[in-house]
Amino acid sequence: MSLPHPTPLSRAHKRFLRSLFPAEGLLLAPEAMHVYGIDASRSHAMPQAVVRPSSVEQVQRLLAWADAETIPVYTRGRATNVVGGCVPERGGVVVSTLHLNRILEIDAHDFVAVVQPGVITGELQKQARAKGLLYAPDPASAAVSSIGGNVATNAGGMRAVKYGVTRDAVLGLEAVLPGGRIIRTGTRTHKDVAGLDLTSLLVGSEGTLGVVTRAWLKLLPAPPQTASVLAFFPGLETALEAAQAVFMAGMLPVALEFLDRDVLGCIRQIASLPKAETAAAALLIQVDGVSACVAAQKEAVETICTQAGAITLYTGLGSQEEQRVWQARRLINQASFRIAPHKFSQDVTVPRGRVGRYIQGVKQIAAEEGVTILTFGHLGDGNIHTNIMYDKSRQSQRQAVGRASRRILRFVLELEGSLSGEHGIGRNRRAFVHEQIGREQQSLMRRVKHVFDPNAILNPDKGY
Amino acid sequence: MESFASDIHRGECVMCGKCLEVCPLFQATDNEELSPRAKADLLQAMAGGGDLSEAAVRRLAGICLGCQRCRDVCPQNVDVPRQLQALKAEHPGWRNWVWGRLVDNAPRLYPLLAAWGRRAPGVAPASRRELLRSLGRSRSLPDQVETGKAREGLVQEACVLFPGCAARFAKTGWLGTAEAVLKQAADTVLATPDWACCGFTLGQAGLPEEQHRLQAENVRLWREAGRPRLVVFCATCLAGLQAYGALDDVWQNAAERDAWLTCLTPLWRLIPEPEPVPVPPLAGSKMVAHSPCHSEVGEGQWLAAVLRSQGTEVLSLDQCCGLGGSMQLEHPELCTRVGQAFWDRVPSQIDAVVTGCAGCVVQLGATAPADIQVGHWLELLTTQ
Repeated sequence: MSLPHPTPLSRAHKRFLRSLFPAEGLLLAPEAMHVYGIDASRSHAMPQAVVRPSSVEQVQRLLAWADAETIPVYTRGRATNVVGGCVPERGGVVVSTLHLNRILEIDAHDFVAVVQPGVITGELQKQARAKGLLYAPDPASAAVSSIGGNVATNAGGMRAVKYGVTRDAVLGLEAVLPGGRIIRTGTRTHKDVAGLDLTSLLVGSEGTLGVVTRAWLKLLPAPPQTASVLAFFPGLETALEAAQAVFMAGMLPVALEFLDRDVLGCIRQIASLPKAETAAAALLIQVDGVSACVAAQKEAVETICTQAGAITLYTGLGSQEEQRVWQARRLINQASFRIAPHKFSQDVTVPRGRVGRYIQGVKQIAAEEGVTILTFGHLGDGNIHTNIMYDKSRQSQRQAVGRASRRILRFVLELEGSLSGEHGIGRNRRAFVHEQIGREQQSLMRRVKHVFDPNAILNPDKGY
Repeated sequence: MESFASDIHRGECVMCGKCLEVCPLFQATDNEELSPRAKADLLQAMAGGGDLSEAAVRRLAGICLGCQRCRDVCPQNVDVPRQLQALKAEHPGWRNWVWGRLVDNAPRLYPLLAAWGRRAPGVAPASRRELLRSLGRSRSLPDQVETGKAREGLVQEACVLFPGCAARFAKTGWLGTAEAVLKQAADTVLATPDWACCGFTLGQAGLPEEQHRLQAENVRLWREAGRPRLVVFCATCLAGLQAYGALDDVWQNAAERDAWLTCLTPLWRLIPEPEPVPVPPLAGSKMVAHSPCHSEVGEGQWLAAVLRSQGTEVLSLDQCCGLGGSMQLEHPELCTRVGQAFWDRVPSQIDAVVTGCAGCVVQLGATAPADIQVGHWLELLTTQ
């Protein structure tokens, strides 16, 4: 979609921004602003100004001004999203939240953390852990990404099968709306049913409804112990049976990850998998809790995997031992390039019971289109990372990737799945989102946005 | 469905942001335009024929401490500091030239500048003046730690010290201690030749020709000495010397290059563990065991263990000191912020910060609160 070239900011606009964001609070030089036009999608558009508020009042005055002047506003944390959610396609002002970066409270009695949006998720996890508490959402980017970005994208991660996604951990939000109004949704409690759930509406709204300036987050007692089991299976079916048997035994693992035959194949190219040479699938299962309970769960998982036909098992009790068990999972990205120099990744989700059908279908598409497609990831919630490996320099492969990804999308919808489990829609997938949500629902979502943002200044043309 | 813009191939920055976790400059400022990712983005934009001003890009992208932490965590193996060196090398600014001259002329300039720092407040910006003062202090820590008794002939081959510029021309007390310690660990210790600077800072400043001259000179001296084991006690010098492995034209053959890389030895690896003593000499003290950006894996743990064995309560810290090589000349205010971020992590009641890099000693010595001593771990060792 090509957008009209943005009208340049006037001298009066710049004067206003300089007065509101003195010194290093404002960037106007193209070389300094350049990185604020890109995210991990690697799409780029140049902003017209970048501001770094250090107070909520600055955000309020900015949004009052931007609304009156109909200047687009793009909120940005650490910009690790892969779907172009942060790309300022219409120019306008990028708001970096990184100077709003204080953890205001970690309350071990209320089990609540209060943070500003620029706080790094990993830092919150660490500080909560020091007080015996767990901030449960754990996206792969936790060490790098910010709470504000996690809220905007409703970030998921490995622990989602047991603890849910970011939305499940957000109790309330403070957000500034276009025009400068400020709302405070939710409460400090873990239960709250008063009125419509605007907190949940804001979470995952990709910066299209308001600028989040503070979040009240749910904390849990930190489980003192964890254990992990890596089990190799002769085939896909036996691995999926074992996963189902773990659930049916009454256990809800923290993480339940899956690696397919092709993934194991490329890992073998850079690391040895002793005693698992013939394996065609692997499961990685982590459990947590008090020590005695974890030891019992670990033993039960081992028994279930063995009974289901596992070729071999590797186990670890406690984080140090578990490092070894998780090594294979961490090697996937670098190992995948042994297959082909380029990758095209998707993060589809299908109902848990249909994962087997999905993977078989994808492998068939791969065979028919002549490319390798790796499937791995969060089996526990049906969120399967699907990476098409190919060589960009070959036109036939580029075309094959296009065909394969369209076929995968249609197949996911046929299975009643979602085209994104955790990465979001952003800019890159917006042209396809109606295929999942339908035109009626898409129109309703846009009308909801209009209520919050009548002049469509907040992250326009994104999400829905 | 994603567009093809999300294609990934190796060797290109994919904007994943992993470098944001480790870049001391970004962490101290939270200004994304100073991050390694921003610099990689600018370099890629320039290579793609973007309409940015080349001079402006060079000015901004050149703001780098040279700590190389981003390179070590990059899943795509992108070496941003190296790319920035090349960028500077194409058009070295005068400040980089000045810094190059400074290191090049270490024998004359270091003592002079140290004296200048003591005598002439007001001449240099405050932070730089402190730096020069810090350079002028030859020792800050008390020498109370006895190393253990080395087994006779621990190291068979001949050894020679590479003390680095700071130890040769300013922190002159370190060399005697290092020699004494090395003699306990090795059969034969050769006289220290008139080494040139390791060249690390010149490379970072984008002065590859001057750097290469120093590198070639050092290789020649090492060859003349019979290719002895080269023992180093400054983490950054060690990193600078290890980088010679990438050179093509200073070696007689590949075997000589391999011999160089194999013979480089950090001094701490040769020091026998202190023996337990009834009354630990440092009992009751609290110290930071600092791992410099360029230190080898294990040095920080070794230092912490030694300090603990002497009765010290130890806090391990791998925060960057903020010296930043040539960045110190161009952006002292940003170096100061990185330095401040270091001290923000140091709790009160700390008596001393102990480190293993000459540059860190100088920078931390210049920025330390009045009641905290800063020194190289060599200063703690007795040479009785």
